[in-house]
Amino acid sequence: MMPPVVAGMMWLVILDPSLGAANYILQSLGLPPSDWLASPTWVIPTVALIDSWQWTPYVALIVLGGLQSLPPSVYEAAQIDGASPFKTFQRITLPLLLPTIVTAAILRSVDLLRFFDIIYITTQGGPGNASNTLNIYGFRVGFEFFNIGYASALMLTLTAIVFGAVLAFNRLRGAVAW
Amino acid sequence: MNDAANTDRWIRWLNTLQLVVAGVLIMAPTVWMVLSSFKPSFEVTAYPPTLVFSPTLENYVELTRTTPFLSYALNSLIVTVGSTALGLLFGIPAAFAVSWTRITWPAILTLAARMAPGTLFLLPWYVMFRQIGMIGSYTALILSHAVITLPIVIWVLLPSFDAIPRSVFEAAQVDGCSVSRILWRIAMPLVASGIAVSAILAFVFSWNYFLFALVLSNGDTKTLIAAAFNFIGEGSTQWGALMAAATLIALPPLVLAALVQRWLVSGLTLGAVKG
Repeated sequence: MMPPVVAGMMWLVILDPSLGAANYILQSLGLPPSDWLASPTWVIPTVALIDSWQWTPYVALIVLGGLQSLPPSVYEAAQIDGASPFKTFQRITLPLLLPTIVTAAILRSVDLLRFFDIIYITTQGGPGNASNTLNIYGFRVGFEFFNIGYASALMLTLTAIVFGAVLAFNRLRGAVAW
Repeated sequence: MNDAANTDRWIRWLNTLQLVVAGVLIMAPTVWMVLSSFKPSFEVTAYPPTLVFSPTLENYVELTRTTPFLSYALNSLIVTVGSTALGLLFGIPAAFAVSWTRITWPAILTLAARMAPGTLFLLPWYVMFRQIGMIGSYTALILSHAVITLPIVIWVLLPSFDAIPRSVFEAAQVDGCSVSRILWRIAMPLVASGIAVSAILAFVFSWNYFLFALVLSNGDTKTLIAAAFNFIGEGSTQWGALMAAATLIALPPLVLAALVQRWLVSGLTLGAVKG
């Protein structure tokens, strides 16, 4: 439960283009160093990396909760039928777990469509506009340029997008439910 | 038979390997941050980075000397405790009412409020608080952070209230107990642990929340999280102090989250997953 802002501060130092530990590791493996957050091409993958680093354990916790609630009888039946571990996973665990996975996807997308903290602390949407998201843009329009009306319109649109995504995902969850 | 045992061993071995790799990937950056905060200043930016060094508290001393770190920490504490208390004050009766009447739309409404981007709330608040001259006041910050704490309290407590057998309430009603008295004397003691968990989760999320304090606080009421920018500004040369600040800011939520580990998922998903 590290604050996203702290994660941003931490990665800012690790990913520093000239003195960061990440580039040192890349170089000692014989790979070319990257500009990470300072590169318009790599900034989006980099913030995505930071966010994945922070929230993958959380997705794992949700999926673990789903795994623990799967009925053991199906597994006994599969064992009696002589299913291999891989087949068991592919044909039983994965389909039964899909609703949980979709739920995790909903929660993460709701958070990520509004992705703010990590981007704002590391790049404020830069370099240039390379990592500008709707939420960052709306915030800057509202509180840096003080165009409250336009910012409100942007945020209502973003809200509509979030709700649309949730509805679409809910459909999907209905389709994979068992 | 031998074959199956072999496969089993392979799977166990792969499992361990996977756990170790995932563990290292997840822990390494955090360990690096904490290590850096204890490094002497000339070694923090050493290139290649050093792993062996003589630990020092100089960065922490530097941090409290050059920035009002302690007063930011106090601000964070005031806002977080205030908004958690406010969230409990309204969230406990709200969750009880939803559970009692089975009218769920108010609870779903709070969930919708959590799905909307924070800036959507922040814009009207900013306009309102500016008009009544409350920008930078603790009241404004606590009120805005209650938007974070309230849904958490409601959704963590809802299953606990639902789990109390109806017959308990019916017995109380037969004895002539009013609904508010049932909440106070019967339901609340029964969900005491749930209340503790919801309070801790609300505290953590309120502490971590960045956006509102960024706009609604001023120099005197700035919370630690919103002050992160100051630390980055100073930290462009002083990585040690920056990492010390990051470590200290992350400490309270990490410790508290470890305490309620078992219930963390229910707090994070707000009832979307039954774990």
